[in-house]
Amino acid sequence: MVRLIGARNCRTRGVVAVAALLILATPPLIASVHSYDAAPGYQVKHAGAAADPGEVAGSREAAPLWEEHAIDPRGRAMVHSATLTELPKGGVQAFWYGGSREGARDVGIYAARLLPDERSWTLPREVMTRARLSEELGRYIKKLGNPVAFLDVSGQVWLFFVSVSVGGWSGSSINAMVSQDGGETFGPVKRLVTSPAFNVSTLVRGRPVQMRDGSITLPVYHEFLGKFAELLRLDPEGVVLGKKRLTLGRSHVQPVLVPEDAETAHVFLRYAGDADKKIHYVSTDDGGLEFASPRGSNLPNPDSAIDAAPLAGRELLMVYNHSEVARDILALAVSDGDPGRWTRIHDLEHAEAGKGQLFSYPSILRDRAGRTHVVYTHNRTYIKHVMFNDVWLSDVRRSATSPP
Amino acid sequence: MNAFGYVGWALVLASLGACCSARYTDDWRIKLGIATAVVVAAFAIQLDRVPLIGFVASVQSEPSMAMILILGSHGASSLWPQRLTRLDMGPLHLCIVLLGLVMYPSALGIGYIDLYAAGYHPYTAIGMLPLAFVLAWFAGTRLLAFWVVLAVLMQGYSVGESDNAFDYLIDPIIFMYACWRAAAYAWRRYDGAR
Repeated sequence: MVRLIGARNCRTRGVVAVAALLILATPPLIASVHSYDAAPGYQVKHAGAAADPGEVAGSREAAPLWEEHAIDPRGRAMVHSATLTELPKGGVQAFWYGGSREGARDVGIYAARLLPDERSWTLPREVMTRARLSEELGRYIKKLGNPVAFLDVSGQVWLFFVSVSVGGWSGSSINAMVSQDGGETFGPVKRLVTSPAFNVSTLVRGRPVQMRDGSITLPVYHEFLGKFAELLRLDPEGVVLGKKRLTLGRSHVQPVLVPEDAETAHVFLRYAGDADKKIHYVSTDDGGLEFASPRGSNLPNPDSAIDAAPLAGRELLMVYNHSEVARDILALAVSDGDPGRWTRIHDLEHAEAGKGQLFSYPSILRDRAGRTHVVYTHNRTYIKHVMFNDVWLSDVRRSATSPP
Repeated sequence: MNAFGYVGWALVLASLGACCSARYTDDWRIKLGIATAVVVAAFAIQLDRVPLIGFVASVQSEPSMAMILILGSHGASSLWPQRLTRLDMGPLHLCIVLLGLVMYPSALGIGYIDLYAAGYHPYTAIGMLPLAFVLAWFAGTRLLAFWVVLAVLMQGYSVGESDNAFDYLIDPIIFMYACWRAAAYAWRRYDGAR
């Protein structure tokens, strides 16, 4: 080839060679154009986590239900960043990372289940380790973190998580693996390439949303030079179809995507800046083609993770730290459809200020029975799970009078 | 890392080995032996159960077509300098520098327009095809044509980890190399004009 493209009098041969390569390249390109839809719309009616708000409009239980559990309370010295997904045959599964300390070589990703009609979680099992990932990807892996689980319309359980080869968390890249047996075992790991600069600084925390064409929209964020949010589109095989930047600057991370209908969705953002310590949000009404500029809500944010889920109609439920400076209060808030206006209805945790208590990284899931599950990091020592039904939620909403 | 990554890095390392050994010997068999030894060492020596090539891939998972063409050309010319003419890499270096200067800052969050995001779109690859034809037709730019067409071909058949056409065109390592070459060229011009 060097001889061919370096020779001086072989223009015809060069053109013929390029033409041959072009002919070879054409079929996959035509196929990709045929399958591409820029804004297919959000599929809000599916079996997974972000289920149709109408479908889970309310549980049929007459009495209020409230339960709380500790997941793996004496398992590992440090646990963090839990996520929840519903299982194809019912029940929920939680994933989190844990080890001797954050970023240590022994940190792995763990999973446990709460099966239907069971009152306690199964024993945790390790689903990914640093050594296994290193072996699968054929490269050095320094640490793991931030798992995100998702049940797609075909019943596959997806697990996304970040890994770091060089540097700190800002050097993360995203990995994905899929389970065909309801989260029991996972297939090979696929590393998503999302940045041209050594593929670093793309992290995941928010749950994906299914699109109407079968693709998946995964909220991701960067935190290297800039701190900004993006949406990544993946096809059902995990091929990256595109990405859309939501914010600029150094203030917005950990986007949480909540679709309202096929065209309308809100993305809530952890605020990592200094000026306006509120939960910010951006919205779309054209299926994600365009998003408005970020706006502040009336909920405070101490630069900590949040999560949100749709309730009946256009109502939304948020779990967040109710403070601009600390993570010692973890609260629930509801919105009647305006993503900027919320009412704080209940504190899941309320520690005395200055005692160093940390309640963070909540993940919320509405299951098909209409029950709401919340998991969060409790002082980094265990993952706490609370579960309540709509009757309980209605009761606390009636008694809640204080706006934030 | 998949087969493309392994083969790509093997080519790049072999070329580096050939280039370095050319400073000390003219015998192509010795140069080829050293190039082969470099590749074997990179794949065979393990640290913490990861081969040395895995540490290279930890930084940059796969070499781009630009890196393979540039280092491959240098390596081949080093092995058989009498039989192969050195290619004029100037236009390719210039394209790499220009593309990198636009793409890397925008991908890292400087500005709302993210050129890199367009690389996932099938129309971007389709837009490169007529461009490649035009480049191929005009004398002296066939290397660019091969570069673009090979990148599109690699992306179309998903031979690498990335689904983005730009990752097959350039990578940060070859961008830094091209910047260095461009700066050296500019300095020579400036120094000669003084």
